Amino acid sequence: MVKVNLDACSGCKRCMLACSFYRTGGFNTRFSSIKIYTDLGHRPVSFSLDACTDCKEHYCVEFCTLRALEVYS
Amino acid sequence: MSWFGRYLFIDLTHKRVDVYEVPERIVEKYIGGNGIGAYLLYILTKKGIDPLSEENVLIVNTGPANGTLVPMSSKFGVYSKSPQTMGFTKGFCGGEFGHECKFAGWDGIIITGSCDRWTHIHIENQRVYFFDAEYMRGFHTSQAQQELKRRYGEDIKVLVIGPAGENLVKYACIISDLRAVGTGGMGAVMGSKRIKAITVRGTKLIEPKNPKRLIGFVKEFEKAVYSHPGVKNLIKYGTSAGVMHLQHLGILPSYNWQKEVFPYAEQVSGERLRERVIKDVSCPGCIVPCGKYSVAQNTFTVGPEYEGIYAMGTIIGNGSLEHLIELDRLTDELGLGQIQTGGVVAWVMECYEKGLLKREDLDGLELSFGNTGAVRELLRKIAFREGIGDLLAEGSEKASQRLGVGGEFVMTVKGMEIAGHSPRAVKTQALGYAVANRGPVHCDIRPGLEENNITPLGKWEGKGKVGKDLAVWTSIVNSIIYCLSAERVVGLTLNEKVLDMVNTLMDWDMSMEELYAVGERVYTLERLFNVREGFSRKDDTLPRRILEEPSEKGYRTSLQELDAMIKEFYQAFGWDELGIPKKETLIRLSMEEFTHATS
Repeated sequence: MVKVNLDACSGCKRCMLACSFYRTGGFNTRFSSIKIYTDLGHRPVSFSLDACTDCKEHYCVEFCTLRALEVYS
Repeated sequence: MSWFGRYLFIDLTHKRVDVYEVPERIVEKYIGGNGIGAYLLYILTKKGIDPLSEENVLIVNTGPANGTLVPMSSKFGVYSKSPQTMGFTKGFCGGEFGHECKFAGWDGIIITGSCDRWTHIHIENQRVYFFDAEYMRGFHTSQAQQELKRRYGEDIKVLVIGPAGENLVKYACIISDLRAVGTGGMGAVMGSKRIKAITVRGTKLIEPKNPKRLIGFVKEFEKAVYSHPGVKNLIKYGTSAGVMHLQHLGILPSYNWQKEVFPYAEQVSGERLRERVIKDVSCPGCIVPCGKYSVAQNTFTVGPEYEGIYAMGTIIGNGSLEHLIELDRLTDELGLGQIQTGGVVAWVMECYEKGLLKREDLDGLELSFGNTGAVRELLRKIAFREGIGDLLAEGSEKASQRLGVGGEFVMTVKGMEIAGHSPRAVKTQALGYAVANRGPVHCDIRPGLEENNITPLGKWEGKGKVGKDLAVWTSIVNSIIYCLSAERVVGLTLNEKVLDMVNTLMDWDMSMEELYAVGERVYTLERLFNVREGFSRKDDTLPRRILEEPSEKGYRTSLQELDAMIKEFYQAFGWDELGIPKKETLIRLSMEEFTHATS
């Protein structure tokens, strides 16, 4: 499974864009399995995994350029 | 597709909602964002309308990059006729609204007419709801956003105005999250339509035409950005890195531009700000977290950006970072455009220190430079149009005319207060402030080449042509739309990366020459809007102080230098000596439908 280090996360939600893209072929963060919740200042405050299939590609991790996501077993 | 060709058209007067289609031939000419915004504003407004009447149009739009994985693509644009300059205006803002607008299936929103009562427009894909917003009158911008999220769900994205917009302050801004569409007074346009907030939520997909090409581009682009030596500095300090750099160059404006060195620069520098940063934050989709989530004793903000440090710091003589963070937040909460607000306050302070305005003229406020306590109260008075604030809400130029004082040091062009990059030393910026279609901003013709020592400071020769290239480049950037804050890592001029981005997003095979023509077309069309409103060469000038009073380092832009640069700039664009685009230029740019505008 994937976990998020919120200290390293900047709230950019690229993981959500990437996940939605690989699940649907299009971009919409609403269709992402991983969710980063941010406050008004875009500061990440929590995350959740919703129907994450723990796919082997882990595109969410791949597109997190700040390396805030990691896969653990 | 990375664009839909569909705009949501809302007529508030008749509560009519429609789909406004933008045909592909227009997209090929103007791309999106700035280009389409300028095009729609021109054709949907009539000459001479009152910007604060129901006839004015407010356009919120996106570009093909928004909502995709393309880095630095979070900005959206807003366009209207400005109540401050009475000409074309545009503003770009980071945050999630643009992405969500695309997720709802729209390239943008066109709003015309006005409401009888304060209204909140909610867009849910193709559905539009008009909710009563009387209960939010006087709400600060964060309070309004939190209330809307509480009522309609945390996942809505919001555009909102503060008390300044409600009270039609001529330089009121629009806020989204903690970011702003700062210049042009479009908060007042939104207020004149009695729209307190616009929210959106969408469940459509943005499906790129060529996904493989897009992902390949994204990967290459990420690598190029991270391999750039400037990226670490941008992440560490954001745009506030500029403070000490400009101070060392002797071009950090202070005390209403009486000086270009600030004795307390170090105290409000990026380095000192860094000590108060608790988090580096990104706009959505961005790989460079340049947002500085910083704290003061009683508040927090994202920033202040360089322009915030200029407007609420150096220009008003404030050397306290604690107070700067508070004022940065307060201007956003009240919905005041920060650069113009700083310009107005600095002008009042100089009037006060020179004895031209007394304490009794200013509702008892002691507005000496650096007195941030009095500034706090003044900002509130401006936003609510109380006492002296009512007059100052019109801007420093109008206030000076009505009070009959301080005209010799009003720092405005086209009625708007200038931004924080030195037009004395940075000659492209001198040109930029003078000619920019939306007034004296730093985002059309950028100061980066000179401030980064790529071309020398203080040299005006050839800067007319350079200025044109910069105006063309930013017009393209703002049509895609990607963030200008990233210029240090993407490039300070038009380059192959930008061309590649456009071609990838649109799945085109456009040449550099064709892309350059898009930029020329967009900037020329903005110009035509102003020509229709009666603007010409006479309006392209600089504040007297910049032309006549040298800085400590001896920098000054003389009228002769400015004239020469403007002449070269007009010629490079194919405009006549009055700054009016020539017919043959419009034909060369395939803008035949606008040739009537030049006669």
